[in-house]
Formats: sequence, structure tokens, C-alpha cells
Amino acid sequence: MKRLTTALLLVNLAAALTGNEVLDRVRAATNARDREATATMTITDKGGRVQTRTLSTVMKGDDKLMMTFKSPADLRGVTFLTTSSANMWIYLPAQGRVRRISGSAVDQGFGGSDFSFREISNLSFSDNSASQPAESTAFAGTPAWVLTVKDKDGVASRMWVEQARFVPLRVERLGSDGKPTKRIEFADFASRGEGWIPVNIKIFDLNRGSRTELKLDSLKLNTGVKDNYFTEANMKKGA
Amino acid sequence: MARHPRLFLAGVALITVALAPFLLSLRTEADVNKMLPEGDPALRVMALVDSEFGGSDEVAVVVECPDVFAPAALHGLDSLTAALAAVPGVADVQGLTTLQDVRGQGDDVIISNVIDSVPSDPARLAALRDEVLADPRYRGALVAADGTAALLLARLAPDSDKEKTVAAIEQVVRERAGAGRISLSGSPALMKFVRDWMTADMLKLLPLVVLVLALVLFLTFRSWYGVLLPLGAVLIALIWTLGLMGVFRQPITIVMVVLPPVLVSVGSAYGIHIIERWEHERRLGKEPGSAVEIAVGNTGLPVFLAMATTAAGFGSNFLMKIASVRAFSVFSVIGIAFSFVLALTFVPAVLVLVKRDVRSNPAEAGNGRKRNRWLAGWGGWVYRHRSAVLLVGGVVTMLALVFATRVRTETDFVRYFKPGSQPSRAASIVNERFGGMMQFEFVIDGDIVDPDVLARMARFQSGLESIPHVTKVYSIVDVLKTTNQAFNGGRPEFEQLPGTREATAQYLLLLSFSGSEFLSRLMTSDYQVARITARFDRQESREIALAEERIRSLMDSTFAGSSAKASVGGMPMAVLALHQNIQSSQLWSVVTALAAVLLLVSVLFGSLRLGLASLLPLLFTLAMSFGVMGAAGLRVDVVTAMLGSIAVGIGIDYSCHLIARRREEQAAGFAGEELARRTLGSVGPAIIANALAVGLGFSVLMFSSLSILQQFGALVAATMFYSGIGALALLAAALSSRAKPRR
Repeated sequence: MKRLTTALLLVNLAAALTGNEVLDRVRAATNARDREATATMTITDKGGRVQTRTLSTVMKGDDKLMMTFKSPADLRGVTFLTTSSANMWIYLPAQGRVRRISGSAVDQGFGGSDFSFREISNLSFSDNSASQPAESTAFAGTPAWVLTVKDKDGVASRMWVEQARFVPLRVERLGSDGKPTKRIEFADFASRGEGWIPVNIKIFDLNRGSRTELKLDSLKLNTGVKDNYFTEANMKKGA
Repeated sequence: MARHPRLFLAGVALITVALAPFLLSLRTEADVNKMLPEGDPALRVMALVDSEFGGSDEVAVVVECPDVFAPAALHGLDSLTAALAAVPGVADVQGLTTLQDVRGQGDDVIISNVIDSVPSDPARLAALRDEVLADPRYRGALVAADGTAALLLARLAPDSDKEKTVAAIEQVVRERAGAGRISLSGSPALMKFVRDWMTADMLKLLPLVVLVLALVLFLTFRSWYGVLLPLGAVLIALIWTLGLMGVFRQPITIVMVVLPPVLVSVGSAYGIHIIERWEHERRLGKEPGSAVEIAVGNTGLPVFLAMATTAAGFGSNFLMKIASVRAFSVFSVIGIAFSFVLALTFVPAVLVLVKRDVRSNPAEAGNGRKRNRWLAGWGGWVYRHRSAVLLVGGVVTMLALVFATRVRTETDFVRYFKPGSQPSRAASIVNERFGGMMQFEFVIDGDIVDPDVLARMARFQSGLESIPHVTKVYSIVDVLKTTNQAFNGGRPEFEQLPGTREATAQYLLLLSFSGSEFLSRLMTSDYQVARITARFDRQESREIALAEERIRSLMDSTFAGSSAKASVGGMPMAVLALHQNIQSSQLWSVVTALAAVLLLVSVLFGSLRLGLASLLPLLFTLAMSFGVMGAAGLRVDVVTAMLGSIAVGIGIDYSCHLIARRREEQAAGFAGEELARRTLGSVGPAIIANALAVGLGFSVLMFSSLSILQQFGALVAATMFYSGIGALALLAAALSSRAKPRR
């Protein structure tokens, strides 16, 4: 009886939610004021070559992010900082200098991985909107919403969202011909208060045949990271 | 056969019906790489470039217009680039509007496209023009130095269907016919043109060769069976051979295009000799059945010998280390064998059934006909002047040999096309204005971020740039130098390699912000294999050979004692490998053909002297063929490489028929001048008809759209002329010097 009630409730929800409402629920479920984590990034190219990198990340909101490479040895201390989509800096310890990086071709890839900077920093899809209604479907046997979203640059994606927790399960970036160019899979959600944070994210570049797995090893949310943490001086301390 | 002709005909029909459907599965192939033997070092490097760096097959799209930097032209380029990038099978397009650059400006590192958006302001346009044309990375690489032409390089995905992709690119270009003059070059495009033209040639040349042969046969026999039977036999043999090619999925290559004219013209000879003899016997009053038995019985041996020696000549091409020539060798031997079998089954079977009365005329059956009388007279003249004939032949041969030493090998595949044709013109533009159509590929295997390895790569690149015709050398070294300069405020003194592996690795990480696609074209993600590319602005294999020698020496000296290993490949190396394979194996294939012919003739006629005598006209033919090539400045290419062994294989037929007939006349008790007169008077017309059929058959290749086939057709046609003269004069004179009656 309880199952039937849940099913009826889901059917009702399916009829009631728009795409943007689903997106709002996703943001609410996955967002945090700030996050700190150490992460392992495993990059596998088309030929099967594997590179592993570890890094520490500190994020605040959807704009502020500092990432510092811990390994491999020749990248140790390299730090990226972004405080808005237009402001990105890099610190290279071998040069001992911080440089602002800009230009139209930035944000195509991050650290040799299949993630773009935006994909890695904006896991709550804050700049996405869905003009079409969400459809109810099943994803690997789990009731899910599927919706088409567009980011601020007009790039379309198909998104599967778990109905029970409103966490993203899969995102497919679509090319101009409507075919998927990248696939992002979210798994192993860690419960933090009312939210669910994916600690295992895999991204597949379907054109290049490469893939990257990002695993968050230790995750702390809402620790009260200050705005003035994201400075050039702290970049240089990263190593 | 004389008793069951219909049974034989039914068998032939059955095989034909079984093999004909496989003609539909024939496909064409023009890839130069497919001509090389498996395991060729040039192929190994190219396979590595395909698997590790996304391939090197690029279609060069040349856009000519008065000013590339005019806003309309730039917009047109941008739109053409986008349209090309959208073509399925195109991995990416490199052009002015897609190029990324790393620049330093104060404390900023700017990673952007060279042209982000087309400026409308004339001052900014002029600045852009100056900036691009001042930069050696773009000037003469993607835009002509005078700004009147631009180059787009559409890289094809290694797993793409290249022919379909190039066809789609052609379609995109056709749709923009108004946007300046656009032409295609680059090896995938040239290969597609060759395939298209080959297919058109096959459809055009076969009917033409059939028509020519029908005319020769009509002039020879002036009867329906004289025309239709040899023709029918070779066309059936052609269906069987091409059908077998379909069964074994053997593609039609540039070399294989000559197979139909070869089979039709060479194969018809066997039927010609059978019919000639059959008519001869009928004129003597024999019934069709017994005339067939005598014709097959007496002509069978020389026809078999002719077939076996021709097969030996064509088969010797198997020694060439070129896959397409080897395939041609196999299927030409099969086709020749089929023609022989059909000449001895299909032709006689129909002749048995011929109802038409051939007028019994013993006088005409001998040397009574005009042409026979004329040739008998020629035989007498040669007999009387045999020493002079041999002397003149020897002098002409020696003179021809002097010119033959001038013959050089050349495997430049742009020479497939006629001068002035679109592919030839586009290749010239790319060579002259964009640094070259072909690209050397160097693969460096080692710890690439090691400063020592990078320094050696930089030295190697500098050395390459000093080699004539090597242009636009590019690798991760250039990217790292530019990045170092950009990170240091754009100051020119920092345009150098970073000094430590950490600095290198960190720059590479910085560059990954612009997507790792362009980095992946230059080095593997684990930094263990890097690629250096260098264009070559000539396409002649002899120029490549000169450059290759210096490149190898440079490679050895630069990487000696290093942990990194360098290897070279790319289209120039494939063209050079063809060149070297032809050079190393052509002589052997000719010598093998001569040896096989000597053996066959000696064994089947039971006389080493006759075997050696049969080589005389062949040596004359070879000397003349290559002498004319040397005098005319013609080069040995992938098709003309077969000229020598084909000349031996076909040319020996005339000697076989002459020797066989001479022995027959000797056995009948003739000797001296009468023997010479009777021999040439009887077999001479068939030899001339045979040489005419083959020569004219090959001459239709002169109507080919491809220059390489035109030359081959003319050369083989001339070869048949030399062979005919060689047999009817030199061999006749040589045999006359020791002629005793045989009882």
C-alpha cells in the first residue's frame, strides 16, 4: 500500500513539475555555501593511457574556486583560481609567478582532463535553464526526470535527475546536430544535511574517446570559507 | 572437342554466368599507402600517427580571391570552415579562423583564436592583415604571402570513409562556387580524383579497345567468326578474371586499370593463331572438324608456349615489391591462362559448328595471298641480307642502350594527372604558395618533457629547416617556446624552451585550458611520444630521395646517445618507398622474365640455341623501349615499371610462332631462302595481326584521363612495333644463319 502511495505521488509529481522546477530542486539538493575536498582525477585517453592527478579544491558558491595540484611531482603546487567567469589565474611554481589567463579559447579543458573549467566548478547547474517540461522516465531502473537544459551560451544538454532525491544521474552535452558530444555520470552521493553531493563523477568525451573520473576523497561542506581566501598570496601557498 | 562442341560451349556459359555477378562487387582503390608491402617502415610510422595523433590525411582546400582579408572573404572562409568541419568524417579543420594562439600581454596570458570575429573597422582589418602576414606560422602556411589565397586543412578521421568524406567536401565546395576559386588538393583528394578518373577510364577504354580489336580482326580475317570468336573468347576471359577479382575482393587499382586492354589485346592473339590455321586448313579442303583438330594440334604448342611465356613475363612482376603490381601480376596471369583455355575450347568449339563454306583454294592456302606473298618476299630479303640485318639491329640496340641509361624512376603521384588539370594545378599552388602538399611525419619516442630530449628536438627542427624544400617544421617545441614567451609578458628573449621538466609540464597543463585536442596532435597524453611535422614543397621522388638522405643523417647525429628515438614517415616516405621498391625490383623482374622465357623456349623446342635466339628480339625491344623513354625524358613510374616484363612476355609470342612455323617448314624439307620465304609468308600475317591487335589495343590507353596511363599505352604500343620488327627481321635473320632441313 505504501509503495502504491509512493508511486501515485511520483505520478502526480510527474504531471506537476516543469523543467525549471526540476532544475531548481537539483540546485537546492546539491548546492552548498562552500566545499573543501581532496580529489583524485584519473584521465584515460583513447589509447588507454592512464594519468592520475591529485588535487585539493576549495569552492565558494558557483564562482570562487581554487584548485591546487598535489601530484604528480612536476605539477605539485600548480594552482588555479577563479573568482568569476571572466577572472582566472594560474600559479606555476616553476616560474614562481601568477598570471591571469583569458581569451576566447580558455575553458575548453581543465588540467588535461575531459572536464571544462565550468563543468568542474559548476556542479549545481546554476546557469542552466529548461524551457521544456520535464518528462518522467526510468534511469537504470530508478524513476527519473529527463529534461533538456541550455546554459547561458545556448549549449544544450539532456539531463536525467533522480526523482526521489533530485540529484543528477547523467548529463549529455549535445552538439549542434543534436548528438551527444560528452556524457557526465554522477554516482556515490554523499549525504550532507539536506543535500546530496556526488563524490564520483565520470565524464566521457564521445568525440575523442577519452574519459576522466573525478573522485572526491574527503569532502567538507559549509565550513565558512572566507572570500579573502581566494587571493594570489594563497595561490602561492598551495604547494 | 570436335565431337562435343556444344558440351564445351555449355561449360563456358556456365562458368561465365557463375562469375559475372561478382563484377558488381568490384571496387576501386587509389591509396598510395596500399601499394606498399605490409611492414614497410613508412607505413609503420603512418599507422602510429593515425593511432596516436589522430591521423595525417588532410584535404587541402585552396581558396583564391583578390584579398583574403576583405570582410566578405573572411566571412566566406569562416563559413566554409564551419561547413567543412560539419562534414561527417572530418575530424577538424585548420584555417585562419580556427587557429589558436597563446600570447603574453603584461601579466595576462591570452589563449584565443587568431581571428575571434571578423573586424568591420578598416583599421583593425589592416592591423589583422599585418599581424597575420608578419607571422611565419601563418604566412605561406595558411595564407599566401600576398594575401590572395588561403588554405584550409580538413583532417580526416583515421577511421572515416575517405572517399565519401572527400565527396562530401567536394559537394560543400561546389555549393560555394561563387566564393572565389576553390580547389582541392592533398593526398586524400588526389586519391579520390584518381579513383573517379579510373572508373571513368574503365568504362571508356574497354569499349574502345574492343572496337579497335574488332577492326584489326576484320581487316585480318574479313569474316564474322574471325572477328567475333577471338573477341568473344577474350571478353569471356575478362569476365572470368574480373569476376574472380570480385570473389577475392581485389580492388581495381591504377595498375589494374590496364588489365582489360591487356587481356583483350594479348588474349586475342591465341584465337587469332587458331583461326588463321583453321582457315588455312579449310582452304586446303579440310572439313571444319578435322581443320579444327589440325589447327589445335599444330598451333596448340606455339600458342601454349606463347601463353606460358607471356604468363612468365607478366608473372615476373610479382617480384616487384608493390602490392598493386603484384595483384596485377597474379590476375593478369590468371586472365592470360583463361584466354588460352578459351582459345583452345570456346574458339574451336564454335569453329566446328561454323556452317559457312571457306573456299577451298590450295594456292591461297600457301603463300598465295598478297600479304603472304609480300611477307614471303620480305623473308627472302632478310635471308639474303641476314648479316646486314643483324649488324643494323646490333647498332640500333647499342645506340638505344645509351639513351636507356638516362631513364630515371619517378613515383610522384601528381604526375598521374595531365599538366594543367585541376589536381595538378592545385598541387602546384599548395607547393608554391603554402609550403608543400606532402608532409613528413617524425615520431619521437622517449621522455618528451626531459629538457635534453626537447633540446634535441629543437636542434633537429633547425637542421630540418636547412634542408632544401623542407618547410613549415612544427612540433610541441614551437608551442612551448611561444608559451614561455607568453608567460613572460611576450618578451622576445623568452622565446625559448623552458629549462626544467617541471616548467615544461606546467606549461603543458596551462595549455590544456584551451582543450587538449591540439596538444594531442603533437604529443601523447603521457608525454612519451611526440610528433614533428614538416611540409615538403616538391613532390618528385628523386627530390624526396635527396632530402631523405640528409634527414636520416641529421636524425642519427641529433639523437645519437639520447634515450629518445626518432623515426620518419609520412606521404613523402611512402612515395619514396615506392620509388625504391621499383628501383630495386624492376631489373630483377625483367631478368626473371627473360630467364623464364629462355627456359620455356629451350625446353619446349628442345634447343638452347633457339632459346637464346628468341632472346634477340626481346633485347632489341627492351633497348628500344627504354632508349625511347630515356630520349623522351619519360620516367619509370608504378605503371611503366611493368613495361620491361610486359614487353618480354608479349614480345616473345612472335618469336614462338615464328620458330614453330619454321620448324614445321623445315620438317617438310624446306631450307635456305625458301625456308625463310615459306616461314614468314605463312606465319608473318598472323604475327603482324597479333602485334597490331596488341599495339592498337594498348594504344587506346592514350585516351585515358590519366597521364600515367596515356604514357604507358603509348610505350607498350611502340613496344609491340619493336617486337614485331625484332621477330620478323632480327630473329628471322639469326635463324637464317644456320638453317638446315630437318627430316
